[in-house]
Amino acid sequence: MSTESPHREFLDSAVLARLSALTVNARAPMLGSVTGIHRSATRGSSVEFAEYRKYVPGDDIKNLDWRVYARTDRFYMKEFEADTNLRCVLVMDTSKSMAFAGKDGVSKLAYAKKLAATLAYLLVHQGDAVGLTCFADKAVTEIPPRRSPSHLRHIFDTIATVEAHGPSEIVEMLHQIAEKVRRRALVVVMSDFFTEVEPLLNAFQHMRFQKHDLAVFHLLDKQEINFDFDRPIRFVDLESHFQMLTDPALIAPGYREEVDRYLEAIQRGSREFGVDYNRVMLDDDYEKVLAAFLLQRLKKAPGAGGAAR
Amino acid sequence: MTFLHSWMLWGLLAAALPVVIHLLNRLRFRSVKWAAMIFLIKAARSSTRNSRLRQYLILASRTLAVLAFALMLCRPMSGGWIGSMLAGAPDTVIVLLDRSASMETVDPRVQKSKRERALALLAGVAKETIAGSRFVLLDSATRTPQEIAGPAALPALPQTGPTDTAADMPGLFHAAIEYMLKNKTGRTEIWVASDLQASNWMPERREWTTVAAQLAAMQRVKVRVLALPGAPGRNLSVSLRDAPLRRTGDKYRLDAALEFAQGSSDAVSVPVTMTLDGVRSPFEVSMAGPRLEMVKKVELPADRLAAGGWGRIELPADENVRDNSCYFVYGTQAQFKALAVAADDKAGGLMRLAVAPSPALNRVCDRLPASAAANADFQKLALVIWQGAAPAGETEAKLRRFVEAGGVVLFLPPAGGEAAAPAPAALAAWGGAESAEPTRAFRVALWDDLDGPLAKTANGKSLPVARVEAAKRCGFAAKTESSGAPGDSGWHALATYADGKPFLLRRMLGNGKMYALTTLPLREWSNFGEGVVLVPMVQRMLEQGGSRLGGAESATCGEWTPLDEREVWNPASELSGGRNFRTQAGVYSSGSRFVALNRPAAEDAPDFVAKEKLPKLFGSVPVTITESLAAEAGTDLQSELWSLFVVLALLFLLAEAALLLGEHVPKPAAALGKI
Repeated sequence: MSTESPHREFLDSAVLARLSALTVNARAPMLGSVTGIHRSATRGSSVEFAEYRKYVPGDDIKNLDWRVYARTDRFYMKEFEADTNLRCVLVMDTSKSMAFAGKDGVSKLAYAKKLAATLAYLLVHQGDAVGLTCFADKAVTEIPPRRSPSHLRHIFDTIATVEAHGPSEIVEMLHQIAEKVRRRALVVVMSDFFTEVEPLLNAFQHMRFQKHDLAVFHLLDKQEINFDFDRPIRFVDLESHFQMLTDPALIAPGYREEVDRYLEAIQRGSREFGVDYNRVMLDDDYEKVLAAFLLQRLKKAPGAGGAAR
Repeated sequence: MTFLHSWMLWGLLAAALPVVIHLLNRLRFRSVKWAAMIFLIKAARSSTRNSRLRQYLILASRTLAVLAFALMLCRPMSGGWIGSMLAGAPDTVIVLLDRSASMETVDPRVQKSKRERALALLAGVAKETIAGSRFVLLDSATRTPQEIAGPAALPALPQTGPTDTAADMPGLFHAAIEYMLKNKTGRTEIWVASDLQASNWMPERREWTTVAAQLAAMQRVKVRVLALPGAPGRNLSVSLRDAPLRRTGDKYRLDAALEFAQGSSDAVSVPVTMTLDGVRSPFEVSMAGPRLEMVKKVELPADRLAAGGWGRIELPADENVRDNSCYFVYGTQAQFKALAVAADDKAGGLMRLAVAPSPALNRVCDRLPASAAANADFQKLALVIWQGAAPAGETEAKLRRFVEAGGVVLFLPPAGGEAAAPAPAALAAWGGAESAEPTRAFRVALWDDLDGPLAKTANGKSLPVARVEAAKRCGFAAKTESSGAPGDSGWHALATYADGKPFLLRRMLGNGKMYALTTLPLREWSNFGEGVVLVPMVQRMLEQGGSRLGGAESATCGEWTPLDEREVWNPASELSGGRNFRTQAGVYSSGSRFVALNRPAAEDAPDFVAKEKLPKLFGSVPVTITESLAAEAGTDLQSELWSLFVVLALLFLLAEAALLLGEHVPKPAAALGKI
């Protein structure tokens, strides 16, 4: 007898149905465990010709191109592309700062849940493995990538139960994830990234060094950028409960300059390290955000016209 | 700095509004749970100091703008370079100095008289800020314009010294206007230094309308009044109401009717010194109220009377030394000779009776018809009573000279009541007669009981003027407006009926006076012939006219001039008061004749024109009134500064706007656009 699933408000069947027409592509060859729809980093047995190379003793002679031998009297091996599946790790920041909600009342964590659950669904349904890591100051939940539907349910259950709690140690956690996850995985990070830019970019670099395809969803609210308050406010930090009473008129110019500088730095760093950076406002429709994300990746996928490999 | 609307200084509290609003806003904070605290902390570290400074500057700008606006509403005034710079230096400054006796009241705090304080304040203006302006002094005693180097020279000028005269302020303004018209003074400021004594300003006089119209017509004229009102606090004054000589057998007695006044109602004992022909004798007067009237009887031997002499009543020094003395003289009396020229025989007879001709009383009255009046010896006459149509031709010219020489004329209306068109230079002109309803006779409602022929008696009793009932009266058609010339102040009503029409009028001409009575002492006209008012009135006129004929004469300082300008009049003695009969009270002698000059009685009156009423006198001419205390604080005359505060308020608002607009605020849209 199966237990009844909790209510999954982060899933919208209509959105899932519409986004199912798109695939989640990796921007770089992946190293999967089974055959899939993604290009592998190794040669394989697909029908797509890859290249010729000289025969070296020990090669399987079944791939020897006899026609070329007949013409040139030399042995050349005929190689084909390999298709593999994708391992994706969804990394969700569940620190207390993710409880910040915009004017619509939707918190960053709720938004991240929608993104994570939808991506997980799409990935599993295209045969890719999906894992989930939730973290605050340490890893809260670590689900390794698998591709079975039951695994997907497990992920959904986890997403449904996870709550924003504790301070964030995102830099440390990204370094840990970069080391833990096997090479050449798609790592999707959903966070507000409210930390120092330089260590964060180091963590991004670490991810790329491990040949992971790193995509980030930078969750922000317009209020955090506009800072359009008009009278004295006591700001209470969500994570540390540190309080600051200030007149927004006094601090707004400096605040906006800091935010501007931060966003520019994080965007420049992401471009430099090849991070698929997506800034998301909480009032954006998550379906459109995901559609844009998927379409952009489709263009950049290996084998796509003009895509970098 | 002083303020015209000082009560609006409460508005300065409004300057606290921006601060209060700022503090209230700070108290009305709300709590917000915030994730991006990292930026807040960084922003607080990097830019709060500048922003806070900017905020404080904005707050200060707002506060100062409100402050400047509130100060502007208070209409601030300032002297010194600020006031002058903003007002701009005028081309000509005409200083009208009130040198009346009341200006000699000393303020015990500064030990200076009002006149001295006014001069010091005016001298304070003599700074480089108004260099270039032409200064002209017009004092109330001489009314002769004199160009001066600047106000700094004022205190040293003889034309600014103390006097015992009255000040005719409308006349002074007329003199100023005359000077301005003659000299084309350009942009002119008239600075008036006065104590605003009502008897000097005479705000009820119609001449002010002319003054205001003439000043307004000149356009570029401003009037500044340095007002120094206020009666002295502890001051005693003595004045001589009358000093008639009585004869009892071979003895003569001078009844000096004295009036003592003090600023309080305390019971005091006043030591008085009487000097009679240089011999001092003290006596004491007890006062139980603010005023005391008494008659000091001075026995005079017959032999001394022939030589003539003088006396002085003196009080101890107090806040106003000018009102501590009064003078009287005695001497041989000339015959009081009257001439009655009456068209109506009955009226003429009654008037002759009123003169009371009697050798014992030294009074004579001749009667002549109008046609023969020109043959009379006017030089020996004290009074001419003229009943009927006003004289014309040679008689009119002789009569005019008689009055100018100090004689008195009483005009009575024609018995038929026929009206005649007045000649342009006619001494008097009668309108038509008017009869009262049988049961409602014309009654006299108002009369001057302080001065003139209807004044109270020496012992303070009023004449029963209110009992006069007229069944008929005659209109008076002569102009009652002043011509503005000195000594010719037009006809003025001394007594009026209940409906405002004149009963008795007076006109000053030269040294003499003319009176016009609008009813006749005939039974069908009025009950005036009963004599209770008529006789004392005529007797007083007779004495007024005859005072110039005797060996001793009493007059008012400033109004008296010798009949012959060539006569030399010197002080009668070292103790007899002033040295200059034109401006100083005292006893002066010329040969065997004496004249006692006393300050005008009105100078003792403690009535002042309210400064709120002054601008009405000048109509549309801009008037700035400076109060004494404020002026002393500021050390000079002041100018309005409201325009400065308007500019300041605008500057502060502009500064606030610049601070608000100059703030570099990175637009959030810029960051969002980089997505």
